[in-house]
Amino acid sequence: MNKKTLFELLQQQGITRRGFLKYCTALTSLMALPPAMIPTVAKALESARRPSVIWLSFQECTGCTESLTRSHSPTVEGLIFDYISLDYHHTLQAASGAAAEHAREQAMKDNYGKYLVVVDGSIPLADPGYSTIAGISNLDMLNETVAGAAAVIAVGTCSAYGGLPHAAPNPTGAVSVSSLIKDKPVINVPGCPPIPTVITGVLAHYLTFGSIPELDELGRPKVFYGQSIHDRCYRRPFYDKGLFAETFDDEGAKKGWCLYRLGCKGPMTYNACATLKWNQQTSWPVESGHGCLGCSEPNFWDAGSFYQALSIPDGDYARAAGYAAAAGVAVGAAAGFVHQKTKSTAVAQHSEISVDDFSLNKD
Amino acid sequence: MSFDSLAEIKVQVETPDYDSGNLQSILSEIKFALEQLLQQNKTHCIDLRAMPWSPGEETRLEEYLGRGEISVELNALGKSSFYETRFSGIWIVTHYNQQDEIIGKLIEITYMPDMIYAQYEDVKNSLERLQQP
Amino acid sequence: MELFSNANDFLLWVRGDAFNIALSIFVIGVIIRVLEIVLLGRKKEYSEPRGSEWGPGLKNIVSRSVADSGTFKRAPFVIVVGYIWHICFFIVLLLFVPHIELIHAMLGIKWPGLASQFIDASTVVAIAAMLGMLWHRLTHPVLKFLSTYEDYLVWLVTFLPLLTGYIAFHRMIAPYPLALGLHILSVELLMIVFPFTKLMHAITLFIARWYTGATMGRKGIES
Repeated sequence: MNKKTLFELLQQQGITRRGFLKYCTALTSLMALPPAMIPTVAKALESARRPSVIWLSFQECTGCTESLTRSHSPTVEGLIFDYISLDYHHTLQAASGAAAEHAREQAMKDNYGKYLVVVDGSIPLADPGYSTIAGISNLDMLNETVAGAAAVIAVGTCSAYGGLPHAAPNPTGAVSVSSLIKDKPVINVPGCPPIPTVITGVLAHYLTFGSIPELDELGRPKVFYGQSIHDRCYRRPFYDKGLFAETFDDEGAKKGWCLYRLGCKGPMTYNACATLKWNQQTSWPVESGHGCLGCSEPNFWDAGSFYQALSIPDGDYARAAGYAAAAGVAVGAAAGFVHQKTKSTAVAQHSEISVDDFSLNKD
Repeated sequence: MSFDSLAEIKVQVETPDYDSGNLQSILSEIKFALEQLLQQNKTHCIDLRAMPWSPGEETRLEEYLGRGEISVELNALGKSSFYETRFSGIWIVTHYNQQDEIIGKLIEITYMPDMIYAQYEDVKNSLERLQQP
Repeated sequence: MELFSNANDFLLWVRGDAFNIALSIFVIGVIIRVLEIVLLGRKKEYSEPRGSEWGPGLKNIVSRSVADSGTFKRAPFVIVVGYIWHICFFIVLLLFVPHIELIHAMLGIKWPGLASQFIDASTVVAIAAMLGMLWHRLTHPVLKFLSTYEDYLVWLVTFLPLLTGYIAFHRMIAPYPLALGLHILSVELLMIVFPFTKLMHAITLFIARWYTGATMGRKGIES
């Protein structure tokens, strides 16, 4: 099943060299590599083999899978059925129960040491009963499946950082994949959901080069998460000119000015929305007039209001300042009282002397 | 009513005049690439989908570059269109998939995009087919 | 970083608990220092007033901003660079939009900001001015002799917010949450040190000048 190279598969379908080059062009663009890399991609793909992929869904909302199935270039159908071998995805697959679990075990056995594990959703540690599949706890299934994997791709903020289930007070004790898996490469593809073409782009990278892309300190592929939203934002010139929308419907908002004051988290968010955009490159949050929520960053849910500027502290500082002021007045008054006392004591002890007291010839 | 793709939903997009500076930078990249093509016969390619376009900016670039004398249509894994802009040596290449969705869009600065040439492997294949009785 | 699992956690702490701690120390400290001064009061003046206190007091707050010619001749460098520094510092502090947002959120007042290239230029000038001041302090024999560790501490906690702000704005440290977090942390350090050092001059100068002006005014002396 995995014996044929991708190029051979394409040839079998009667696809010409031109078609193959076109596919390589699309794939190079998808992987966010410069067009100069097209020949390299073509060369790599000539000998690439379809990787087996096992997809595990834990504490998640299926938004990541929804996002992936809307990926269009190359179509996810093509990617899944032709160029990767998606052997287990309990939401997408027809089989269920024992048959589904059997497919997973078979794929693991057949491709031991070579398959990819994609995880969406966080893993509950407080009580395994919070999330199970076929009676197996998420933690057990993860450990068991990852044991023979070449690499793990954590798709979505939940599996990358814990995400929404991890948000305070984190009732299920949700944790990320990377906090549990230490002995395999973990690629984080965060976002709530991640950009579909980023998910497929990372899969395509593995398919093409058989290796994992260069990652940043949060385990994210640098080609997609190397620059902040703010750096790539087309509204950036307005930020630099000091032109800001103050409300969502004022003149500034209509003119497309910067959304910083309305709480845009673009400056601290690393993602590819500004270039790859959403819905077949139609638009993206900032283009549609709403600030970035920072969904590809750890703890974005607990990072204060979505509608407060990034420079504003998010603690209860008014209360802190209130207590501090009260304490300051109390201590200050006490100190003032002590000083006055010192002063009045000094005044009271003050005694007058005359010139005679300084007489040199006392005796 | 149901739609199979976003392109079927007719939406009129109003495009305010943003100036994100993308146009100037891409035009100077094109100018430099043209010089290189003339002086050193070096080709260049820009992935238009990797640009942080503001609304309407990509259309403005295409309008500015205009259409030149030649256009080529390719049918392989869906359509592809190649056309020279009104500036000779600057080509716009758009790749579509079988569902007519854009899967790649590039500006090529070259005398002729490579993909238009008949490919060695395909020619060999043709000969093999012709040689078969 | 071991305390924080990532830069975002660090930024969250800096914007949350750390800010509350720094703000509390700042508020308590400033109120204590001001109350100490005000509550101590002045000795009752029994003489017949020859002029009013309020007018000259307020006037003195402004007029003392101009150095008299003698002082200027003695220390022209300190006065010129000091002026440049203070102006640039206030431009950066009060006219950078993210700062205005902070002030607006805390005090409910706001005003228009400046384009970021002006802020950027002012920051560079302010940083250069501070380096110049430090160089002056280290090379001027009298100034060097008079300087204590407090002077260097005050210089450092004032310099750091400018430097980290410049770094954060130009994203010279990655990731950005770390750069921004360091900037806010440096300001928190400044807030904590502020009430207990010479930095209090930003508040006490008004009290001191008012007292001087008012005393002179009462005596009918031009100040």
